[in-house]
Amino acid sequence: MGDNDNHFTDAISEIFSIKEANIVGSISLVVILICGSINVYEWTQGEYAEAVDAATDEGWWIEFNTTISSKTITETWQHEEVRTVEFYMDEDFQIPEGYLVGMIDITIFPEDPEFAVTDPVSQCDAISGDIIVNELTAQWGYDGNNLSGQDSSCETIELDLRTYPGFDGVDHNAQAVNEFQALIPWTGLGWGEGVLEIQIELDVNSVDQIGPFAQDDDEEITILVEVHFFKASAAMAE
Amino acid sequence: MHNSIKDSFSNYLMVQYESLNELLPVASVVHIALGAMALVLMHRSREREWNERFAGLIISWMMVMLGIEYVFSTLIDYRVDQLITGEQVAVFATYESIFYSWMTYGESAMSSVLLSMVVILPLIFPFPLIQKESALKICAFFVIFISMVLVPLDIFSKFSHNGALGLLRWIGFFIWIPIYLRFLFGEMLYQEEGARDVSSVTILLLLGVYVQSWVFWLMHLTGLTSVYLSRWRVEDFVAQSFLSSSLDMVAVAIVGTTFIVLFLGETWRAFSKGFGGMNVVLSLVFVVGVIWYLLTLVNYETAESCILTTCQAWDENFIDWYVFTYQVAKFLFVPLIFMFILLNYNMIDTEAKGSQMITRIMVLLLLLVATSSLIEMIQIILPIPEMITSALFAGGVVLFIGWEERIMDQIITKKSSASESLNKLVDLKKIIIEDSEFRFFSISMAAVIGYALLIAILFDSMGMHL
Repeated sequence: MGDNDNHFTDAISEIFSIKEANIVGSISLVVILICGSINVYEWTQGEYAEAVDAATDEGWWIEFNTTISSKTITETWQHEEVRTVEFYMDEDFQIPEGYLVGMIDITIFPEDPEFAVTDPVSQCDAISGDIIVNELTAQWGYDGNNLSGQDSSCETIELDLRTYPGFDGVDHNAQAVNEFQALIPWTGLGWGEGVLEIQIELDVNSVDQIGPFAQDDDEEITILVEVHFFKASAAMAE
Repeated sequence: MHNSIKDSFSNYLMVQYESLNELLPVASVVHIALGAMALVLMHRSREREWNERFAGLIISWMMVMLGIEYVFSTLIDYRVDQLITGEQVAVFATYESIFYSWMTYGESAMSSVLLSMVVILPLIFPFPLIQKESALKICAFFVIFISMVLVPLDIFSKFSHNGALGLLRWIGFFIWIPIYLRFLFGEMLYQEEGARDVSSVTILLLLGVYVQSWVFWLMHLTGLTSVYLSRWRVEDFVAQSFLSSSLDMVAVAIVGTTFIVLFLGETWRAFSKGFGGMNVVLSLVFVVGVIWYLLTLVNYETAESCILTTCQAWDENFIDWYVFTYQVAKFLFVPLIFMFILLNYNMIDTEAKGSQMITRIMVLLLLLVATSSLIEMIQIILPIPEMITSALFAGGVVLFIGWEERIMDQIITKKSSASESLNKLVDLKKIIIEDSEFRFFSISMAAVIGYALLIAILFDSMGMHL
């Protein structure tokens, strides 16, 4: 046993038997200690905490600052006329700097029905309105869209189309590692670009020769398009 | 660093890079084939010094273990590719299901067993610190014990303490660097005859075990590596613990400093003894290290994007550079070095019956596979027509067949033995170890591999971590 121990210590002594080599070895060890200490200090005092912070999900309150830009057109449709009205998203609406297109609301107003009071036998015309599925970048497949509607009771027709994925205008909570990542779902460009096409069909209902006024065979229809723009901001949830 | 700039470049972003891990399948086959052949040869080399033969055996088993580890890595890579391209296989439909499966457990288990082998090699070769008749038994029990602890521990801890477990790898630096310096100064200042054989084989052993880390030497030395550690903290499926990542920061300092010691030592030697092959290799690693440092500065914004904003994908050319430096060093250069050590330092007894034929097969296999893989890699990056690469490969085959003859002649005629040289310089205990002890060691290693694989399969079958 003692012999074996001697061989081990002899081997170690032999390895460290040259003074010059030991000096270089010692210098190397000092360099390792200095570099290692600096590395560990920087890592433990800042970099590690930053990395952990960056990797840890936190709660964020996503808030939408919204604004609406609208355009109205009023045109006359003839009986049984089907016509498509086009709205150019980049020309017809004022897009504020830094905002994105969230959704589009369309309201179709029939002709003012006030005359119905003076002409009690007059009937409301049948109007149908459709948002035509085209190249406009939007969530065409979203179940909550209302792409077509019709009415024959002098009521307005409401249509809507979601353009930005997931946007409903409601502030909400989200989990993300930092503000940047929390806002990533709300920074996608390219949605709501193209031409909005609305097809209107008119079917005039009239009672011949009964009312005091002459038979009408057209109707003035007003289309109001409201584009909802949004800009999201994130604040750390408490 | 145990895993250095790791193999998980595409984990988080699920981005596919064409050249990444392209060498893995080749590396697994090469390592297993060469390791198996080397094992046969080492068992036949009865006339060699005990520590040479034992070191050869350890290196051969290390090659086999690396090969099995790469088989698991290949399977993981294949599954991740399927996941990214949408060709999901039902069982591995998510990254989590791949990560916590027998594939990753097997990869980790092999890595743990390999760690224990890396610990015993410096104790045996080139300067045997354990000079006992029972050296093989001691080492076998040590490997068995360490493996039994590390294999399940690494899996239990979800691989988050790799840096801490990697402490074992440092032993090589703390034993081989003093040995290198001792014999370098012995040669340079005291004209010790044969000292070069010891110092040169020590450099090769260090290169074999650590070359893939040394390609980042300047980043490691300056601490720039921390930007990658930070990124992995966010990007990796399992982040390293505080202790583990802090120890990694010490490890990088060791890696950087030891490379500088070797590089300066060999440069000093080159001034008086002339420029040699070792200088070429170390200079190449030196330049690659400097370029890595500069490229990290260029890609610094991408590297730290995970911390500041969101993880940005790496530039394709940056990945190609990573593949041509780190992965080529790890997958092709390492077996080349180990084979060179076995063949050039008299560990294999080429006089033994049938050994020459196996040695020839080994040399040709290594050279041809390495060449064809490199040509394949170049083809990925440069749009060279296949006709040209085929012609290049054919030329390479002809060249290597001729070269193999020369290499074999050199092995048989010009032998340098570190042990013989050491015996002339140092008074070492004469030890005779029975053949049965070598067989016992090999059986033990086979059993350890079996144990590691069994643990991996059992842990997975019992749904661990899921």
